[in-house]
Amino acid sequence: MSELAGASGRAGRPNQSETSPRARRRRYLLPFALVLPIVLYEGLLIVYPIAQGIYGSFTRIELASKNPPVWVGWDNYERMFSDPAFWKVIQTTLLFTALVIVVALSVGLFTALLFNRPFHFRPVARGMLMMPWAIPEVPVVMIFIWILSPQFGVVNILARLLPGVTQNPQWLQVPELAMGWMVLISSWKAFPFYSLVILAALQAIPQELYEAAKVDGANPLQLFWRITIPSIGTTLELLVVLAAIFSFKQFTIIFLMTGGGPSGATETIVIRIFNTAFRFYDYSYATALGVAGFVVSLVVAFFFILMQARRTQEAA
Amino acid sequence: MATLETDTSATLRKQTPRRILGSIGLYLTVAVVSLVTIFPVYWMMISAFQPSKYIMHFPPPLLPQELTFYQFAELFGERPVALWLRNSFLIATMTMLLCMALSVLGAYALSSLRWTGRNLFGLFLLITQMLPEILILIPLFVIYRRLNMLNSLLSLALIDAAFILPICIWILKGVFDNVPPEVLDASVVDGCTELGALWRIVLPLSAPGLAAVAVVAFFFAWNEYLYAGIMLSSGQYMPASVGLSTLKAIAQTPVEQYMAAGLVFSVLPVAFYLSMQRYIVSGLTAGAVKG
Amino acid sequence: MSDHDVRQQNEARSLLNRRDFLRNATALAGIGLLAACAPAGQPDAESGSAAPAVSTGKKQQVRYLSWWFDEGNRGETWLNFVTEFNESQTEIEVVPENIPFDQYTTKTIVGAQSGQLDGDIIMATPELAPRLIQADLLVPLDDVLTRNNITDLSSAHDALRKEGNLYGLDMVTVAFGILYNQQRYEEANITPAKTPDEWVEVSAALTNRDEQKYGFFATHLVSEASDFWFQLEEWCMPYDGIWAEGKTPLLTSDPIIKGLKLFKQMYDVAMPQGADNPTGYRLFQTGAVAQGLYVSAAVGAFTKDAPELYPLLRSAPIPWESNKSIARIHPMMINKDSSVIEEALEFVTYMYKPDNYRRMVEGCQDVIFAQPSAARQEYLDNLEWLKPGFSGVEYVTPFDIVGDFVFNFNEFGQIVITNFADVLNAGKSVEDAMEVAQKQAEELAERIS
Repeated sequence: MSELAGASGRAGRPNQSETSPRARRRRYLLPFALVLPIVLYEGLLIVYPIAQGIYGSFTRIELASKNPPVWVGWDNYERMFSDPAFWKVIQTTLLFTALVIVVALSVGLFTALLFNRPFHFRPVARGMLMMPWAIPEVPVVMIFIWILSPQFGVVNILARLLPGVTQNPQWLQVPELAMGWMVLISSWKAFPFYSLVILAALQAIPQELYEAAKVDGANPLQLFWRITIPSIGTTLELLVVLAAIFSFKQFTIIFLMTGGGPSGATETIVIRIFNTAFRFYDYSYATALGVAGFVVSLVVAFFFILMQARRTQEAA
Repeated sequence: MATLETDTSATLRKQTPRRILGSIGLYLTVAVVSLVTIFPVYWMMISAFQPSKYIMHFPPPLLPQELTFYQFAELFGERPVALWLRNSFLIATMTMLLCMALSVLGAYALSSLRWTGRNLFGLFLLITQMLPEILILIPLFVIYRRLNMLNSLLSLALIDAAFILPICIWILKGVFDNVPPEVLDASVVDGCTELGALWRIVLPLSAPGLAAVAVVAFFFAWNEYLYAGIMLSSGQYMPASVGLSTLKAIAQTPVEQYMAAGLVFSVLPVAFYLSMQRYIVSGLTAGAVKG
Repeated sequence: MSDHDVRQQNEARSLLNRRDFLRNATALAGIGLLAACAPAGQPDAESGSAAPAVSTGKKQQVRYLSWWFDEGNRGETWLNFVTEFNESQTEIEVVPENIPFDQYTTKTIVGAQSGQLDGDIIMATPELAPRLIQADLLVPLDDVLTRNNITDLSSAHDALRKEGNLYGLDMVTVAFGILYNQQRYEEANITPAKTPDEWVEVSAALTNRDEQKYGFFATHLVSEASDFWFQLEEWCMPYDGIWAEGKTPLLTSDPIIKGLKLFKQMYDVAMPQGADNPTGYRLFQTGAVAQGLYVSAAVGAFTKDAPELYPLLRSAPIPWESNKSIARIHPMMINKDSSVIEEALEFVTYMYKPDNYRRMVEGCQDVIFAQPSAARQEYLDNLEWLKPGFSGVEYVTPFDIVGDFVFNFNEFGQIVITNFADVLNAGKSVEDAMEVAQKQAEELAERIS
């Protein structure tokens, strides 16, 4: 994961020895000057509010009151850890995230492999394949609500073909089905991006590797496991992290389609935070949940960074 | 890519029975995959261009029975859709420009320069990217109100750009990494400053990366729903993502008009993507290839 | 059928928007970009607002926030009144600002939570009002009554008082009643039900799932939480129960359990299951759904939305003994932090002049008068759907049925609907589900006390 953290950037060029001290100082300061606006910008709009949010999670803010927030220490966190609903939400979030990673990346990999092969109309097919990525989330929600409508939804035509299905299923009212659809729709929306990235990685694999392996009598499956996968391994790892971040933060689709229901089956932490803050108006507790979500994603990310670091070490 | 396209004819020429079978299988798979992927979009179009009596029937006909356009006229006549689209367009464009400018700086510092604190900066970006946006909604709202920055499209664009900037920097860094170091060295020997090299050598070589950044930032801002709904309280600044979701809540919007709205809202990003597709493929993926 | 389903768009406003759009589109190419995005208050931005263009720039501006300026006849009526008022004044200009209904509560609460309300005059829902009053964010409005010599005010206003002061004046009362499609009743040869059991029978008789005919519809999806609770709150009425008393939730009480079982029965025999609110509404429009529990304000909207359906609409008498139903009031309030309180009071006073008030209610096609003496019999007699379902009913307000949870109405509702959804979808029994809900509501009570 060091790629994302920037650790494996290209090494800088050797300094020219004949430059003047002034030029050298300027060169020394240049990166800081470049980065400063970004750090200030992100600092003001992201980091400072995070700090405020973390502070808020240790207070009790009375609704719509002019009283200043009251410092309550770990109260919000104690309540959170003893709240069974919280643990269910964490479970749901991890399940959702894991399923989206698996589904979206598998489909992305599959389509990338498919589109890495030569065939006619490939550009047209690729344009079609990328469509879900370009369609904004709110229209995506609109389409799928309509497609899944128990009364008029077109997907019921397919479902009715299954033996034993005589009634249109209530796709979003059965916990397992609703979760399944959230995963499918989120994956449908996300996989083209992953597919594109994987495709480029595939195209960068030197053909000679395959030729050489074929001469050695490798079958397609062996080619796939011995050459393709190792060659795009880093890319896949990177995408796992990206997919984890994106699906962890997925809000619009779930919020507008199920609102976290039925029976909390699709209530991920982001939805829970929104409901707590804007349906239960329990702002302090919502920030505590937000901090918990932040910590969970940090843990996941650092896990990947560690993994990557160890692999780089092994390689060296 | 070009080399693979020329391979196509060569491969297709050698037609043994097994190959024919294989290519039938390939085309079938491609057809199925494309069909499944595109079907929801097709269904949105079908639902948008037909009177609702066809679509509000089970089983609905899979092929269009009648094409009508009145729903689009009604949509634009009855709802301030043009205003919504304009707002979205302005927000997305500003976000895009901001991200393009800032990500060049950040990516250059991450990719081409060596300095202490580089890893720290990378980590900083990663962490800002991982944050669930909702966590800082209320703190940001309070700050914005204090600064009197609510109800401004530019203010929302500033937030959107802050959220998507780390990803943009990451994409562009990958592209910058691919500029051969020799080219850079040569330019410095020729008397270019570091910034001059960025401007004259790196950027022109990285045009596809910039295109990718543009698309990613534009899509994000065009999509954004949560912050747009809270930060822009007045109807005149409502962007299309929020406007559309209010249509969802308005029960009496006819289905075909509702779907037409979704379609109208999707046209611009799709067109934008298609016009940029060529660059995006190489731009988005340079980083990945580098791994 | 909630408040916001009653909306339509204002033609004049979208014309303005279109003009605005064209103008800005031309400016887009370059430098115009930033100018077009400047914060509110600049002349360019102002032309897009819903305000009738009468600004002279010298008058004291009063911002009036509501969700209904783009709701068909209601929006038109209000905008006309604003214009009328502005023309009669030399010093004051009321500027209406529209905020879509499904964001209105959230935005107000976010504003309140950060310590300050937005706007000078604000409309509130029955859920929002007590919250704002309790938080001490409003100006007393007793003066309005004195100035207008008003002595008869609906008793619903009791909930809007605190320490003897009145903080809100009801502008729209919407009441629940059973609305049906006369044609569907006649086809099935049905007469309105008189008891809950009969009501189930009638609804079942009107249903034929294979032909996509349904006897009844009510919102029942958790994804439409506010609509779901908005409608479900009425279901404590059939067996004359209440949801809570004081700080004690009564979710396991007999009337609540029976009421929810009734809902479940209706769901089983008569409802298009899993249909979202828009679908339910459309099905009612086309006649596929025969009846529903609708609020009176929705009916007025049908005149425009479904002109072919409107003449067929009739209301059925409330089919339960108590003859009670819920009426929801929507008070107008003034922000304590406003810098133009006196000017804002002026407008509220104007709107509450009995004559103006009556014109406003009739313009919006509402049927319940917060000033009972302002009602005109002739107007009411002309509404065919009014009797018997919306007339002679004993009305109770949300404040009467949820006890102290009125300050946490949404939270309480969220608990009820989430657990009740398990009954509809997961086959849980009403008793089991409400037992869980009761516990959660008790926890909520503890937390908020």
